[in-house]
Amino acid sequence: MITLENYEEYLILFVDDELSEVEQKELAAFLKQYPHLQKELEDFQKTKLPAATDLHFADKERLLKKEPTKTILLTGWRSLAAAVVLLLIAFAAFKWMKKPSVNLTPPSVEIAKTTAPQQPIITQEKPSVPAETLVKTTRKITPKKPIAPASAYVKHDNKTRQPTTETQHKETTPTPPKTAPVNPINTETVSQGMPLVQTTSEPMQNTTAPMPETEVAKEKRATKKQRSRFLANLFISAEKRQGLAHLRNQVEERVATVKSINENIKNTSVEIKLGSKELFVLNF
Amino acid sequence: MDVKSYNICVQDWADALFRFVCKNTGNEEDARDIVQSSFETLWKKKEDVPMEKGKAFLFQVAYNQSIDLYRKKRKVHLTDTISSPETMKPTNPDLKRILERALKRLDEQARSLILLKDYEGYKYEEIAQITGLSDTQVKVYLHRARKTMKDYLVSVEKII
Repeated sequence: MITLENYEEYLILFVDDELSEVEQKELAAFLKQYPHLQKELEDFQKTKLPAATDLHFADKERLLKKEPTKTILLTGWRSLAAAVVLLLIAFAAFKWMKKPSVNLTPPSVEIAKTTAPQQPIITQEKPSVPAETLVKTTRKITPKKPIAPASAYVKHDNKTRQPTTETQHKETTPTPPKTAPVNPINTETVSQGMPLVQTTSEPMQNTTAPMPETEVAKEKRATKKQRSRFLANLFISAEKRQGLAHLRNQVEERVATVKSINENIKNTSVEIKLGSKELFVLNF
Repeated sequence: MDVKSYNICVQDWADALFRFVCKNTGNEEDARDIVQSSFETLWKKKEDVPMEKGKAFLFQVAYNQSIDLYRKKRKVHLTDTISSPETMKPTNPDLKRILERALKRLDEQARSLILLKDYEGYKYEEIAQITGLSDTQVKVYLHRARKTMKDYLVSVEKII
């Protein structure tokens, strides 16, 4: 209960917002009873400080702390899974980067004779033909295709050409099954660095005639089936797969050719090159 | 509290803490040092202080450091008296300045209680936790501070 002995305390509590609603009503009623005390209440209310918004602490950033970087430690199967994922990503990136450009020089197969004995040249049926001509008649190249048909370049010490080989090429050159039509090679394309089925085999080939067409075809079909499964499992596009198949067939043809004339040629080697880069060498 | 909560405390309470200490000590440089020290103390003990008690913790640390600074420097708070004719000119009745003078007339502890009450709106129980006083002590000290300031204001008004 508010009295004249304790009213000052209630006035201060009212200024400090410490009175309940009931106590505030009692104080209001008390002040109505003693109106001269209203002035005293107003004097106490003047002692309440106004809000000070003019002072600010500068350089708050200096007080801030940085959050520590989180390190996620992978253990057990998680680390293994992360390593596998990274390897797959790296492999995919490698494959994507290895995608040949449109102007990629098709691979060339060179059959070089290192120490072939000199043989008489039988040119009756197989006149020497310039490599470019050979190429011209047997090969078709589409410059813009990523993988051009494989070509075999048979090179011997003397530079006479082998018409028979040309014939073989002409007859046995496989056409890419589904790719765009292969354009004939002309001198211009050859000069631009296109393939090179330039067989410059030696004279004696006439005596060792190549396998008949049917046998070669059969052999091709047989190997084709075997290798197609391998190619199908490669992580490459269908176009590249076909090009590889064609290249493979070309290499096989050249190897078969060399084998057929192996009796008359000693120390023969077949070099498989991709552009100027040597892939592998077969020695006979 | 974590680092993020600590940074929130800095953003929310640095200004208020600075105002409190500045009005308490009367010196901005001392106030800046006390504020920085208070936040450093909070940072060191952040694991033990929950987010909702961060403000009270900061003001408690700042209050104690203000009291320590006052005792170290032994400042004289009565910078002027009511009878000084030079400062009390009837033609210049500025209530804000009068209040500041009235505040300076209080001792360090009473001034801290008035600032915590009027600037931050703390209840008596909260002020008791910050200052380490009991609820009754807070009530009595605030009562005395209000009365002192009121008597000073009335005397100034009489002169004006």
